[in-house]
Amino acid sequence: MLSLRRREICILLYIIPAAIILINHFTGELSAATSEVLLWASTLATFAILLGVINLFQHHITILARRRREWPYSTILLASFIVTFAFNYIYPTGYDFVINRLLASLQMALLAYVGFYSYTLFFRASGTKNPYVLILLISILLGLFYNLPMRDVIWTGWGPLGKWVNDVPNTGGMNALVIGVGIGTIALFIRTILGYEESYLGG
Amino acid sequence: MIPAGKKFELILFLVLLGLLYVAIELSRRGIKVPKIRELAALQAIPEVVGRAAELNRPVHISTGIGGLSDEWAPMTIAGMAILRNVVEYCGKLGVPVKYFCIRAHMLPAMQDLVRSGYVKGGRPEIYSEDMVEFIGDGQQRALMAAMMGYITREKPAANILLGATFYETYISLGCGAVQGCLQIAGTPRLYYQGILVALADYPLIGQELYAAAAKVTGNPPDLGSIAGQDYNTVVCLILIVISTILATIGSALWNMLLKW
Repeated sequence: MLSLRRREICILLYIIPAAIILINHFTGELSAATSEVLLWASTLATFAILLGVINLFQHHITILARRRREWPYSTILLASFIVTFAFNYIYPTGYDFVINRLLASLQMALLAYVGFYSYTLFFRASGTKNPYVLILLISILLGLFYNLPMRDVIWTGWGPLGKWVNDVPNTGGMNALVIGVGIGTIALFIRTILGYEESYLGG
Repeated sequence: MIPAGKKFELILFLVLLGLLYVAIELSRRGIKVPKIRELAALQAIPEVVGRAAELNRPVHISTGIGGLSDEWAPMTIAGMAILRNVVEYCGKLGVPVKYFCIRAHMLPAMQDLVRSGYVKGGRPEIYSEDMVEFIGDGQQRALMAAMMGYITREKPAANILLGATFYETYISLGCGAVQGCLQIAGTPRLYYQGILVALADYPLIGQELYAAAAKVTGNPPDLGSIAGQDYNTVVCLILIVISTILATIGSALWNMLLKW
């Protein structure tokens, strides 16, 4: 055991749970062990969150201590964290208010930016000299006209054309993506068990 | 032992695994090392980091919302391989980087990646714990807010987004474009190919991310695995054609195979 290096232990820690889950997937005979492995994964993830919280506090307390330019944001973040954490245990009504009234509204506001950048994409793309952009612009126009409430007044062909684009090339593209992800996952699996993949170990 | 409906799946899995193994071994032994064409995004890394050094501004790097414990792990790992190279250049030229960590389990790995990048670049003193900042486990909105705030306030010279990216692609690249960042971005995720082409100066389209990750490491096994993935894709294409023909002629053979 002492002869095992840190890298080999990491690979073993990957191989054993992966083998259990794979054998269970194909035979269904290791369901209890699989549940246990997945439970361990959840437990480890919880400890990882603890690491994250320590990092978060270290970072923002340093900003406050050094009075950096962004210290007001750090104050708000730390105060929000502590208040939400405390409310969860001592004042559930306040916790619900924070989550459903404050956080949900802020998240919706932030998502609106996604809409803004999506809609301005057409104009930004128009100025880009790239042949792929032409395909993008045609797709955007098709998508826009397909979703117009008055599309049939302009041309009755928008409906069937848009539906075809959505059902055929789009579905094909999505399936290709799923196949690509699957093959990528198998490649990652074999590289990891052979010890060639080390990115997940950090530096 | 093996229940019905799983036998064909198992055989296919073993065939794909076998092809990958053969490709990796052939490449490792130098019998057939695949060559990957030059990718503009990789060639641009020295230019992008050099610009950041000239402007005395940081580089923002991100692997997106994907983690190492989900189906997006291959994309995240490919992104990490390229970002390691980026940080090494940053180390050589004394450029600080910023990474917002959205997966707690990735925090130690990314801290180690950034630290070792500066060590390899010959400037370990530049690294600080602040460079990798945790902002909430799986909290996509927090990531979007953090990226938007950072890019707007600090105006990084470059914005590099590589991995399994979701909605944050819009925010990061949109905000980066407004602030005039040089942008390198790549994800195999279908929904975001359009925005990569429109907003990134150097996009990596679709599976190019995997190829770029293999090329940047230059390791024969990595290059071999890319060739192996191509062989697997060919197998999948052949199966798609066969199943389409069988379905068209009304044969029940394909369904029987799937239920075997």
